Amino acid sequence: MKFEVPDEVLKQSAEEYVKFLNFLGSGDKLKDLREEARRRLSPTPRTLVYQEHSTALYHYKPAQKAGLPPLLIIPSLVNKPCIMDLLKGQSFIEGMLAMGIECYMLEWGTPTAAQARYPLRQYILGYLDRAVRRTRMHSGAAKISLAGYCLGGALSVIYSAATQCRDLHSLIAMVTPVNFHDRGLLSYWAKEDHFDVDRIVDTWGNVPADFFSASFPWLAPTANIKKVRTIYDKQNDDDFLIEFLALDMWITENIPFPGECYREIIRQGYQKNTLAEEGIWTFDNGEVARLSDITVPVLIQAATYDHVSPIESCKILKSLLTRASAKESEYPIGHLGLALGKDGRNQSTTEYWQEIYAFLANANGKGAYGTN
Amino acid sequence: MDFTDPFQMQKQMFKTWEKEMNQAVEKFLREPAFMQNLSKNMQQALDLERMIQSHMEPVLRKMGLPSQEDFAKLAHNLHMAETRALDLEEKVHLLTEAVASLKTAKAPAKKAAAPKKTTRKKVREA
Repeated sequence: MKFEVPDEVLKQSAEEYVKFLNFLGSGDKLKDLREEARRRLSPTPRTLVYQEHSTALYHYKPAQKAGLPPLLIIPSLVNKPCIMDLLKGQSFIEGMLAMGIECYMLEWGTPTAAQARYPLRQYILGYLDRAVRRTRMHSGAAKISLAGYCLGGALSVIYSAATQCRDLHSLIAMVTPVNFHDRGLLSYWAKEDHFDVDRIVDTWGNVPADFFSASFPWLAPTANIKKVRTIYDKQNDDDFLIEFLALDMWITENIPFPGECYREIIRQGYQKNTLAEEGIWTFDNGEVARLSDITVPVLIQAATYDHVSPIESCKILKSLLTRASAKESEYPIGHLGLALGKDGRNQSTTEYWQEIYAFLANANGKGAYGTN
Repeated sequence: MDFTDPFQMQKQMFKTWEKEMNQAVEKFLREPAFMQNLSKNMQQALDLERMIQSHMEPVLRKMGLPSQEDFAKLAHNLHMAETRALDLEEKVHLLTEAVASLKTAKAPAKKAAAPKKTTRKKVREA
């Protein structure tokens, strides 16, 4: 029996072989592109308002103001905040400024050895509360809007409840996990019977970034192989590679998690799930924040394909807000689609940002969406 | 599957492998036996680290070098000073605003008083 290989297949094989050889020698090029990506991170001009311990508040001024309350953005505690302003054309902050919304962002920074002992109360009623006060002072606005992303959203929800929305005009919870007992692996790993959070915090203090960088890849085990394949396929497209590497840097370069906060979030969030099951968060001094005390309009933005904050974990918030006018939106995107303005298939998601503009404008005449 | 194009076939096989692999690894990671072993290993690693830390403390003290605990205390004191400075800054801002609003409230009162005097004067003159 004689096999014949068509010429077209032979030609394609030769091309693939050359491509593979080029790929093997592309180490230096990738290193350069990675540095270029790092240079391009956080492109939107900003000014520092103040610094407190590891935290810092930044101001982003729009060219023209839309007359809406300023937006204070609260990123997650576990990743670098640059995801909210990743690259030009892929920036939530840039999108907000283009619509005339004045932005502020509270950066948590890398916790110091002393901050390992500060409870979550210090982070919420200390740092976050000061950021709200300073945003009001700096902008001259009587009330502001709070927009929390991922775990930053959960902190914003607890803050709103604890302060009974004293200084808030409205609240935006973007891909915010509230129910920690979900189908996700993170929820399973954090179970009390095999996760000794006390031993971790008592030994390490702040939970090292390496701990997260080593665990998160297991949420999508073949992601690293997929990463190499993507770089291989797009090796001649520098613009694509810079965007890809910028995002990869954000994913892989975690920051240490403040120790006591970690203990409280694992115990009360992941193990007892009090926020979703009782609608409360109890601080270390016994003070209780009740979700029923949230009275300002709330916009809940959830992503269908989110493997970090599963959709059911985010959507439960509406049912817990018994006195607030809440609007819930679900988008067919992943965890980062809202922050980047595009999804994994390179489709624009900026139309979802316009919903924030409409929400802020509508929330001026409170109760626009009706209470639950 | 397109059997005439080996490259497409290879890509399809990779996709299938990727999906199956993800599911298999997730199933493995959820196995109670795996979690128990992982937990035990981590516990031992953390205990070893704590033992090293407890042995290091007296050595550092003898050498006159600060421990992590000393750094944490120092950082806490600096943090407290920074917090107080920020609190004071905010108080000064509020006081400045209050003084400014008092000034603006007094300013029209003076203007209003001025014509009264001239009226009295005019009345007396008359």
